[in-house]
Amino acid sequence: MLVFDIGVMLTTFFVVFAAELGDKTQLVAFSITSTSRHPLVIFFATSLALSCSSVLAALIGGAASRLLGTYTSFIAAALFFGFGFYILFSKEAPPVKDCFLKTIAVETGLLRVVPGLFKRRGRYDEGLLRVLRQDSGHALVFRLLLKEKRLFKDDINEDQRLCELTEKLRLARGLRRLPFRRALEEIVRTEEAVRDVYGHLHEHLRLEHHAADRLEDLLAGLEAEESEHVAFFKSVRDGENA
Amino acid sequence: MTRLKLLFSTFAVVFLAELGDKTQIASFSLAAEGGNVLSVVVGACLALTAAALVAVIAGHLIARFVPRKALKIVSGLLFLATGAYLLVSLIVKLASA
Repeated sequence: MLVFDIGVMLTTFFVVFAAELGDKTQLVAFSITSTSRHPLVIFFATSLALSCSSVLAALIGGAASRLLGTYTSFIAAALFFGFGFYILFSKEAPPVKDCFLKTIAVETGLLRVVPGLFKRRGRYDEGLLRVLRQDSGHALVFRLLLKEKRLFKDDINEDQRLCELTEKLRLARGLRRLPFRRALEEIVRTEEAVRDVYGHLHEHLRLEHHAADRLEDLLAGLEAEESEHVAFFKSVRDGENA
Repeated sequence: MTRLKLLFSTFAVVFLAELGDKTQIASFSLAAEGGNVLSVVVGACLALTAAALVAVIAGHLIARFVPRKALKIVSGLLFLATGAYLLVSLIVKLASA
């Protein structure tokens, strides 16, 4: 029974692919992806569910799976209604707020972890202190920015790029326990992600709001400082590697 | 929605909606004719993964050009319509049986 026939496989592939194009499941995947920010998760879940259901169907056969399908499609209909109402009426935090919260989390996370790492290595110096001082300032700035409610209604919330950059804002797990060089790589990556977010916010304010905006200057300053941090950690890394 | 919730809910809705659908019947009939389930299952899984990939890429691309609010309304209605369709076809099936 477990013979592999490339011809049968290809036939199945094309028949099923053609049957599936424009089918309700594809519409589901399409519409969830267009309203959510996690395309990979949806791709994974959809293809896994489709694969599981077809493996099950191939094993239990046509009549039984149709019978099972009759009962489960009742639950499926309920789920579709649930999803529909959820998408229509759910209120989500604006992406800018999400971005600000993650920025605060990353900056304070760095403040918690980096001193220990550098102390252990005997590299706790003036340069690092300066970086840490600035990073703690950045976290504070973003706490204050959370109160700038007008940003939550700004058209930057429609901006896909901001979401992509926000995705990169996370601290590696177990950074504290990583070997110094590996940790440095991660810190450089994180600081670069933060710098890119600041740069993007700054760019947006510069292009979209022609009136002189005090936030624009503020973010330009943050971006410049963050670039220095990247340079600082890179120089430490290169020193370690030399 | 958090990622895990999204993963489970997408899985549940797709899995339940697809059980007993035409794809399974197609793959089953092919399995019966060819006599080897393995190639059928592999072919079907690859096809479904490809179809999912097409849908996800299309959804991701359209999100760049269409405002989120419009997409939310259209997708919400699409879900409600699919739910209604499933329910109606279920009732028709049960009535004719």
